[in-house]
Amino acid sequence: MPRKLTDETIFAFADGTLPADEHAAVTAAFRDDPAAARRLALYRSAARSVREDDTVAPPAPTVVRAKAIFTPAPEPSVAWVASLQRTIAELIYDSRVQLAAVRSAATERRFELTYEQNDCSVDLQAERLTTTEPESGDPRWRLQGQIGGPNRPDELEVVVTRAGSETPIVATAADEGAYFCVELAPGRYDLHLKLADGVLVLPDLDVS
Amino acid sequence: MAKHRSDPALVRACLRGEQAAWDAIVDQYGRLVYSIARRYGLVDADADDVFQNVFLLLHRTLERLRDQTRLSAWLITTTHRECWRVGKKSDRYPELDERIADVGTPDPVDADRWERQHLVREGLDQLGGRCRDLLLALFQGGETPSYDHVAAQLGIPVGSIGPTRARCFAKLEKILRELGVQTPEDAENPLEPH
Repeated sequence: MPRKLTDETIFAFADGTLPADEHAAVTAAFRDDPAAARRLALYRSAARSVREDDTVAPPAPTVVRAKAIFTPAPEPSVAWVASLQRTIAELIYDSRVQLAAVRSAATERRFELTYEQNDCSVDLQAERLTTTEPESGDPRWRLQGQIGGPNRPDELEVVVTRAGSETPIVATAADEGAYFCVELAPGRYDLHLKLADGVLVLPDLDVS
Repeated sequence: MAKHRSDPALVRACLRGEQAAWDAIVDQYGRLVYSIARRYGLVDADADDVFQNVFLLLHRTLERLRDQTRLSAWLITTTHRECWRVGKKSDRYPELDERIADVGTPDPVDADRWERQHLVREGLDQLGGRCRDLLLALFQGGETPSYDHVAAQLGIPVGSIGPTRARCFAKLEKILRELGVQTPEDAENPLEPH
């Protein structure tokens, strides 16, 4: 009966730590298990790529200049932010609260939030970037979001304002998967999502 | 969530005028582009010229690349050509003709290796957290990594390395396949040490 290749065996083989008396049987087993052979090959290939990685990060000014090549679209009309038909979404999950007991560098670098309102839910993930604000030197944050639920509009506009303000700082549109992404300086913000029947506000989002 | 935006999604977002999408492309591919110029021996200033030219060309070509599933292949070829063009204008690189045999197309072995390195790095970045740290430590540990060393480096028990690695690599495997990483050619002969 052919030997079944477990993860433990596959990785022991990859690391060269398999006992010598098992080597022949495992070698034969790989020939009978193409999926395990592919897994081993991918593992070794990934390891080799990392070991041989001779890439060099471009200097920060080089990156900044390349980013400045882009011509942003003209400011969209965001008068809808001031709509009277506003609904405030409820924060139902904050990973910073959930993971407060196991606070680590990773949890301080990235956190997740979930908001809900009626049939609509919004998942947010904030990630601290290595790029900084030119004047203050504070790290910038990337805020990614996705809206779900049956009332999800086909085209979703998103505007970010300072908390309590209606003056847009950033305006963007979600893609076909209702996913959006903005970059922000540390601070407190309101997110305004334009839905078919009004505006959904995610209030007082602390990005820091 | 940790959703990764695909290349077509980033390009379409750029075409809608989203600066953040363009920034993400430059962040994601900048290292790949810059490293090619350095591998061809270009000095900082010329590598910088290549970098700006490549991203300028990309910006002008976005509409045509709307459905390009992997920008890396286009960027590798374009960077290769720009390196030759910038390099030939200078007298600093007499050896450039030897390094670049075909002006139009990079050496397929090099191109494949560069793209794979880029995708593995990208995959590990998407993986993030402890999984990324563990796999990096094991990968960098050579062909026979020391579990004791890896455990000490990451502050985890030696006994947890095996199961955690299996879980983490399963996640990385999924990400790499989504990024379009193919099983290497040597899949049929995985028994040779690498």
